[in-house]
Amino acid sequence: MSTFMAINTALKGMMAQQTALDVTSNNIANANTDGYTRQRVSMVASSPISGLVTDAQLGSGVDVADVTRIRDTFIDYQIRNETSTLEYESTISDTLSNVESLFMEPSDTGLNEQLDTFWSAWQDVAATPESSPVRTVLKESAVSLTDTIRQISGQLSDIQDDIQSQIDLDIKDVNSISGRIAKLNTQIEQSVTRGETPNNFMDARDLLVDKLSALGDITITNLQDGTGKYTGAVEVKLGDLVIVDETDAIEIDSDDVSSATITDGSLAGLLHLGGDEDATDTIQYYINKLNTIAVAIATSVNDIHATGEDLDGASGVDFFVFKDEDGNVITTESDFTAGNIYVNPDIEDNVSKIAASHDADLEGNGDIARQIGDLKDTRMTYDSTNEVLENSGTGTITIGDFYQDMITELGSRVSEAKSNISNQQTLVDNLTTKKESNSGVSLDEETANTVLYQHAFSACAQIISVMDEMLDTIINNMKA
Amino acid sequence: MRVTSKMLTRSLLNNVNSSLSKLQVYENQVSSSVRVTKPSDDPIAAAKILEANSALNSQEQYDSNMEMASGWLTTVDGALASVDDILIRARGAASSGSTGTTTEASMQALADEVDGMIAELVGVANTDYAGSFIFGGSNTSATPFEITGQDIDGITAIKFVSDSYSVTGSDLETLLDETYSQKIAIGSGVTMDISAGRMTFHTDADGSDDINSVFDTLIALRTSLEAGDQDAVGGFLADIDAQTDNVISERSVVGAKLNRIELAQSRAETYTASLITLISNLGDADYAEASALYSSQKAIYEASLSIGAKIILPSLLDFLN
Repeated sequence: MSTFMAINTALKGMMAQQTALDVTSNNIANANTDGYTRQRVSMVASSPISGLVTDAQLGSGVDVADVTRIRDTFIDYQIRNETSTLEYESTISDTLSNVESLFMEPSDTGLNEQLDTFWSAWQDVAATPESSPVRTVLKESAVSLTDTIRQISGQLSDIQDDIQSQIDLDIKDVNSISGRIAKLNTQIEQSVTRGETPNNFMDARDLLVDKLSALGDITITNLQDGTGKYTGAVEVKLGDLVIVDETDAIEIDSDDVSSATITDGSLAGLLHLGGDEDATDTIQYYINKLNTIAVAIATSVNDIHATGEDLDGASGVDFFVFKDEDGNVITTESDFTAGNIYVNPDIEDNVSKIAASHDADLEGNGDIARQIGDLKDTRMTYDSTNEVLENSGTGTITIGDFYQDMITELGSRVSEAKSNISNQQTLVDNLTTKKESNSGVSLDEETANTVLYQHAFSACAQIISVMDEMLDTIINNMKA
Repeated sequence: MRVTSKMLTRSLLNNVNSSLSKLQVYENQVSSSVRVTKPSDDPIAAAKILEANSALNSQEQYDSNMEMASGWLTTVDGALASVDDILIRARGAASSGSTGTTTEASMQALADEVDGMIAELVGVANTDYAGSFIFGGSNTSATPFEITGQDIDGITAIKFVSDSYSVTGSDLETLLDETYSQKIAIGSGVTMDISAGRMTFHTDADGSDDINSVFDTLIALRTSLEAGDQDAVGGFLADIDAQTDNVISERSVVGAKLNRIELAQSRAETYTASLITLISNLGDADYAEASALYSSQKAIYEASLSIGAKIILPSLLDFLN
């Protein structure tokens, strides 16, 4: 039995407590750091020494076995999943809220009111068909109606363009994150090979994966080497696209994304919103509905208008026309959209072109104007295959109903998305709390640990001091 | 459960935020007094509001149409009363002229009187309402009755504006049907024909269509008075009576239409009021409820803030020396 063994044991104890204090200090310093996981020192008793004392092993002190992160990967997995869903719904909700505000309903300036004003103006013309001021009022209400329809249609297209550029931004984000994850994979692999536990690199990588989960649904696989040992590197999949393969980041572009299956996250939300699926949460759906409304108004008014005569005795011209980009009137019906509906310029220039009566000689007979005004309450047939609302004489739905139904669908979807978000947010918040409870730094705990390690350190030091006295006794005071 | 200081701060922030956003909703309702500003606030209510607004707009249009029709028909009624009056005076002249004791000079005086009546009748027949002629049927902008012939005895020919009317029989009926048709909408799918004058001016004694029959009768009466033909003059009494009957019938039709409008207007008032109430119930904030909720939410918000001030909890450090 060596005289100096206790000194060595105490020294190892002091060093271990010091390491523990270092880790504690690091925990406290990072108490508010994003993505930081509290670390814990695992201390193990050093290998005992046999044969010094009969029938007993003597302990030789303490070793720091490892500094580990306290982290529950299952909570990580849950948080990422739920964050993806949350981001999907928020993307839908944010964009559709924009669409909702475009329509400005219910208000005195929305399309509903403009349509009513337009039909009313026809009734006014029907009551006093020969009056030029009344005709002018009709013309103005029609111009303002077409302006509103074209404006909303244009704004819907703008939103669609905006979605496309947001997708590109998201893809840039994905590529930048995957690049950094690949680099961290390399560093982690090297550390693991050296037998270290690269806690900080792993925290950084987890934080990046958390960010990635907002963009899309993520799958993480821990990679193994040929012998089945974990290398520390991970493979990252966005939907069914591999974006990080060990130490390589695989850049993706918009073509990859559009052909991939991504089901959650803001990217999936944007792809869905910008897609052409027949669902109430795509922009195309509302563009199509608005087109249907514009074409139905134009066709039904024009059909009746053509049966009348203007004040000069000529047959009614088209009241509404559709123009191409150069301002030329187009006649191909399939090209008629809400974006290119106009009041016939001939009528805009000269309101006497409005055919209010079936006979120009009977200028006080507003039967044609009345028939057009009655279109407000005319039930039409909706052909959902061709998305056409036809004034077939029989039917179930007026143009106004059709518009109101669309607004209700939009409102319901936004309201649904908002309540989904609020539920999903609660779920994510709860999980985050759970994660924080597990992995977060508790200052009280760290303070208590500090006291614990400090006392242990002092005690070890005391041992050395006792040993010092003992040695002093042996060396200086023992007289042979 | 382990509780860390970061958890406390996080949940404090979440709670303060959600409490503030609820406060904003009620604040909005109280200050704007509107509950549904976007369809997503309440999709069902928003749809009903749109529908009710649409119905209200239609009703407002019908109201303005009825207002116009009512003014028009009142003018028509007044004008028809004058026609009635003229015919009564004409009957008096015919009656005097057919009496055996009337001298030739008196007959001449009566003829002059009748000629005056014809001119007066033309004036009445050309009455307008806000610039539209009321007795021309759909020909509202051109003077309907125009004096086209006049000699020293007086007016000899009057042209009706649509008078390329050499047509007779069923063609004439079609033409008059077409001319006297001014339908305006006074309700959903309900129209009213406000044209007037066909029965008064273009229906002869036996009830068949005859352009300008009332003028023709009076002109013929005057001619007979001029000629001093007492028998012929007496023969017009029955014609004038029949014409007067026509005027009375037309006035009763106009009166019935005015009644209909009045009824429809009073019904519309109730309907409009109920629509406005509906829209207000659906879309307006319940002020009492909203301000009560606002106050209680404000209390919650202030409470969570004051808790927040205490959340920087004393830690173990405060108790260690």
